[in-house]
Amino acid sequence: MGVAIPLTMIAASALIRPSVPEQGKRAVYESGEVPTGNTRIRFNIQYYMVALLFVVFDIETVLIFPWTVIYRDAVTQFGLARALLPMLGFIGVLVVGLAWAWRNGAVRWVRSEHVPGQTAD
Amino acid sequence: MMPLQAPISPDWLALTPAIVLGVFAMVLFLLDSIDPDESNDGLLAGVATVGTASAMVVAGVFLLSGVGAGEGVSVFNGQLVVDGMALFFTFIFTSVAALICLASIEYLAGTDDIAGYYSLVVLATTGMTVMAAANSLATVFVSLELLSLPSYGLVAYLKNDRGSVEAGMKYFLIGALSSAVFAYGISLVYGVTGSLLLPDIASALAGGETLANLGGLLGVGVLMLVGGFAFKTASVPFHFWAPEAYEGAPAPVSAFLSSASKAAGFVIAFRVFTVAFPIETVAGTIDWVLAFQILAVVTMTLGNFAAATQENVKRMLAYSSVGHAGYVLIGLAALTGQGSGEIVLGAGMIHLLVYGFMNTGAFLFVAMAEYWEVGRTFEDYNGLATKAPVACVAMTVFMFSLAGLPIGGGFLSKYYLFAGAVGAGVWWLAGVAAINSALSLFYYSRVVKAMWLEEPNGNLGGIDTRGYPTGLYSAVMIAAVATVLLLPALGVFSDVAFEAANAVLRLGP
Repeated sequence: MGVAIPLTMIAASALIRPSVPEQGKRAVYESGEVPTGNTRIRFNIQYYMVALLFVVFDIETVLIFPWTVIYRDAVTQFGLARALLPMLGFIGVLVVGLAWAWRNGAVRWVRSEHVPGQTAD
Repeated sequence: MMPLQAPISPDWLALTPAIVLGVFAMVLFLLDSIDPDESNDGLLAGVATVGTASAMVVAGVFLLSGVGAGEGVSVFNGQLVVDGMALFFTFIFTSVAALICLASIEYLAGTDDIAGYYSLVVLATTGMTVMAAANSLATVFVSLELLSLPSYGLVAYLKNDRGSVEAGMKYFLIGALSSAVFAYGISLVYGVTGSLLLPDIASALAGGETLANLGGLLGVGVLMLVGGFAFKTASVPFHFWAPEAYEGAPAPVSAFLSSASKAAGFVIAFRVFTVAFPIETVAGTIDWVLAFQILAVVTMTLGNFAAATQENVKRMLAYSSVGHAGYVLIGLAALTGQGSGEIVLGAGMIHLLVYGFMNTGAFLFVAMAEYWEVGRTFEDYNGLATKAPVACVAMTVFMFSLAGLPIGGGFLSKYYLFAGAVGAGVWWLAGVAAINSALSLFYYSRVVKAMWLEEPNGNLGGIDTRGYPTGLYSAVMIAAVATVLLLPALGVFSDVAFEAANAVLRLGP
């Protein structure tokens, strides 16, 4: 029944609506922009690298926010060492990872010579 | 769950093997950050080997000094538990990883980003070590991913080799699918029982009320968990990736995946099913023992028959590793409640220990053959013994031990498994396994026959020109000596394993 209702509605509207084909309907919808080129372009690999590095900071923020909220209470209850050191350790691990990625050229923005018509800005 | 007298204090020190591995992975990253373009291969391999070996020593000392005795040390409010089984498996993982690090020096010569390789190996080992201790479905999933993600990278490590990249792609796609299935299974189990902690799941199910109301949902969830484990252990129905990934991956990585990663899949399967879903509670709803009996028979039969038809030695070893997953599944499939469950489960653990050495050794021998560029098929191995007799003796030991002849520890561990199955009243399972074992002797002895009895094809020039790879050769020898020594010395490990299995089985109410 749940499947039948939408199928019936689609079928009914297909039967009674007028058919007015025009170019604007067939064009790719780009939120009002006029589409240029086709979808088969290669993105610069750097976009993915930056996206992955963003995840590092993303996760860091997610975990640091609740920690800062309870930090004062945690210090009074468990002492400075147990409240601060695990978070420092966590950030230290992330810093090592970021430093490694940086040194290995993950943030060096290279222009691809192989993809025509693409700019990096 | 906290034992009254903690055997180690503070309790998180019980996780020392995992911490050591994590620290060494960080050290490798730092070494690579200092100068990414110049890499000192020997130093990196040395750091990785020392790191994994010292984690192995710590695990061994903990195991023998009784840190994980009884219910073990519960860490982080029971999210992790370091008991006998966790330490036993940590010992397996770290010993295999140490052999791999030692063996990779020559194999990787000339490739770039060697630091990345070693840090991925060490990180994957960290993931396995946490898996061995995971006591909640959340930590199981996170540690499973910590193992899986480096494994995908390792399989595709030879970036310019089509086979390696294709293998990595297939492994990743099937891995992502089975991770999704596994996560969905976890969510269903959580929905039914309201807890992720394995002992709490068991107590939520204990009354029988939950099972009566939501048994169907739980059954679907448990079956999905079985799917996730089947992927990691390369068992039917998620075994398709194994031959492709093992064949395409660098041979030391194949050794790592087929020995350590498989054992890691089994350790969480053992713990989740025996602790969270005790068979006496859930037998009426979802009889996972029956499911594992079917999987065991299908897996070992399919693995062995497919292995018998292969021409490529690495592919034959890959299918044989599927077959061995079938044997180890007996460890879960024979927990019928009859006989002694600890013998069955302990035998599975012992077989994984012995398998860790003999299978790693066999794959490393293949790595050595690839290093000498002799080729990949059985015919290419013809007459290898005329040029490299000692290495061929080692390979012969691995092959006969894998087949279960009394030349290495493989004989005893299989004997325990079959005896356990007979004792549990599933004699037919032992029968199928014995027939499969006999069949496996056929294809294992093909390698031995090619090496010792056939005339060389003239493709062995690489042995003279390239010489013996020191690290790889010594890793093969260590594995061979360990395989042989495990025959008389298995008693040490079998006591520990039976004790650990007993502790795990009693944890369930």
